Amino acid sequence: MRRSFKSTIAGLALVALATTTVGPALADSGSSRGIGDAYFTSEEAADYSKDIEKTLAETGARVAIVFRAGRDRDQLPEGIDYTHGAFWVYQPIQREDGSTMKGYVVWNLFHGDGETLPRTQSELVQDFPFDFVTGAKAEDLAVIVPTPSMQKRIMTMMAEGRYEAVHDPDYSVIASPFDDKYQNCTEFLLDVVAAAAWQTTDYRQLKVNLSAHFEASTVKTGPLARLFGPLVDEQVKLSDHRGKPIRTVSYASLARFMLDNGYADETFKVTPSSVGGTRIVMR
Amino acid sequence: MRMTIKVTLIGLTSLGLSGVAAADSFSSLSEATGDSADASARFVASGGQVALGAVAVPLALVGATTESAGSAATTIAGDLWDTANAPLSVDNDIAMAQPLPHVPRTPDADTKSGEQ
Repeated sequence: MRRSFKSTIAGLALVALATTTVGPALADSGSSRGIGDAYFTSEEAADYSKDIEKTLAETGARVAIVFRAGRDRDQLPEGIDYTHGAFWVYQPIQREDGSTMKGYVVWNLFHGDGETLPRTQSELVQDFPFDFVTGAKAEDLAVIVPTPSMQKRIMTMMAEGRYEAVHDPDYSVIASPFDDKYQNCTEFLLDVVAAAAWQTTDYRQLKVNLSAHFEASTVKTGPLARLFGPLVDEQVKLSDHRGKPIRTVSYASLARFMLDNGYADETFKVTPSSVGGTRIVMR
Repeated sequence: MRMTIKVTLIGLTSLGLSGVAAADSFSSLSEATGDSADASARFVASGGQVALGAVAVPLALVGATTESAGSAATTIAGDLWDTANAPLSVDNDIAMAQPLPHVPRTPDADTKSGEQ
């Protein structure tokens, strides 16, 4: 009877998630390999990533925040267009033969793969634009360019080791940005930006500040998914939302926060095209 | 604050996606980079070489001594920002992370042990 009851609950949960996805749809921060078949061929990813690097280089951006959709758009909840974001930092890159090249390094937060690290934990990982684009499942990427002062502050944090100080390894795919319980990749981006802005890595102080000044994105999901989601996917945590609407950090809410408060110069989207790129400048 | 969207066309390098629909595509990054020579040949058209296993040179502050950074460390110097927004140069080589290696569980099966 107990086994039958559990099976029924699990079945209901799967049905709920099949119709109203939350965790699985948003889960993309698990390395740059993405989920499922690649959207771009390796040649396409190489060309596209290099084009983005050169676009950033032309603007003089030493630090940019780039987002990708690691899932098909039709699988994402309303209001969420991208599933993973990371810092792209202009710095020398050393080849295996010891020579150096100029380009961007991608500073990511990835959740564990369940083998080397639990899926409910995250780590900070560096890779490269090619790897980042390889994990995309939609052709457009979004970019936020911080102001030169913010770029310098963020790079200084990275050089001084303070960047890691705002990393919380307890991972939730829908982490609330207003407490210190869990963190996902987009909340980590916000926390680094906040630490650079307020010049502190006091995490609790940052959460208080963000509660007062940051407007998060609401993830719309049905009651069944909310009820059964944590049962089916260990990366879906709801305890930090305290029964309130699920609110998390998205590209849109981070861009708005940075633009409204003078922390970013611009934000735009890039797409590959056989004719030319489409740069959507958002103000 | 309402966000208005303006569309500005800026030319990026053509990818010819419609033309590569039938081209080989790799199902995973490990496949893509498993044969580095073949991967290099595929990237020649992009104008750069594959830099598999490249690593970022650590960031360091001016005056800081970091053994691992060496003389090639990027210093966050004041003059680095005097020309903020000035165009930067990017090499054509494609840097990529190495795939995760498989390490046999027991040493006797580990035929690739030791630095290479």
